[in-house]
Amino acid sequence: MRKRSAAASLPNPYHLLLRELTRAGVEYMVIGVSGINYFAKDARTLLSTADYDLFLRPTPENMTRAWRAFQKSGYTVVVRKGDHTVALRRLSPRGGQTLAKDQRTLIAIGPYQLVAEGLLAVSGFTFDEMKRRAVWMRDRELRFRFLVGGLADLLESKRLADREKDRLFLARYKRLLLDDQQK
Amino acid sequence: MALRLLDYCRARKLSLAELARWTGIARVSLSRYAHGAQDISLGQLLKIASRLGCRVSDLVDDREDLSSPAWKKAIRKQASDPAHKRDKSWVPRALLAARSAWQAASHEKA
Repeated sequence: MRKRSAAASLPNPYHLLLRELTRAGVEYMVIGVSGINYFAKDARTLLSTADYDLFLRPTPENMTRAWRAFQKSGYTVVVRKGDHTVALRRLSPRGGQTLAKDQRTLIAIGPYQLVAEGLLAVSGFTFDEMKRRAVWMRDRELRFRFLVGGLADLLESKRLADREKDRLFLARYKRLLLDDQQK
Repeated sequence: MALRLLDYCRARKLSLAELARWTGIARVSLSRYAHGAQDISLGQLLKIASRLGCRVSDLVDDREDLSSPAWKKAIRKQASDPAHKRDKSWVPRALLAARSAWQAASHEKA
């Protein structure tokens, strides 16, 4: 019998979600710090992040497919309305159109207190521009492939977003990478 | 030094070509200023700022410079690591494990 490693027996909820999105035919890419982390060589160079960012192709059909996949994976989808959030219990085709038009972020809250954010717009890039340089990564245990935004694009998007946390992240990542190169 | 021209044009729903017409500066030059590929004279900077209705300091892009050769090389090297072709299931797992450890430590402290 094949031996399973201890790590393999641990659940991998984010990748289960990605697999569900892939199966549902959702067009997505992993972006943000979550995406940048896939370019890490080992666990020591991972950078902590509170959520898992996905860039969804901003079309009503894709939104509907993503919403269904989130629901199927046990996530509750909420959207921001002003300074509070509203649960999206149903999504009609018209609702999908409004969300896509307004480029609202789908916030999926799932098991293990996980949060995945489905963004419809990112700083500096359209979905197609980012997809052009995106990289296929694979999960051999769950046997599927998923797209991650290109490292240079993800960093450039952070630079353009220019929030305090982005500035801090870039300064830290730059030091980490340049130190690593000097070794 | 790059300029935040693209941000300003986007916010004002203005194309670089239109800005070029307004300021009398060639569109190609504006694009080069925006990307930091060419330095701008103070006179031209003042002209753009006055046309856009902002301060000169608002136009100066002081964000992290990702265009230095050392940084670009480091990104290229990191992005082309052959390890990316291997299994990536460990990435979210390691992050979740780190998060759990951090949460446990905070509970202990509390």
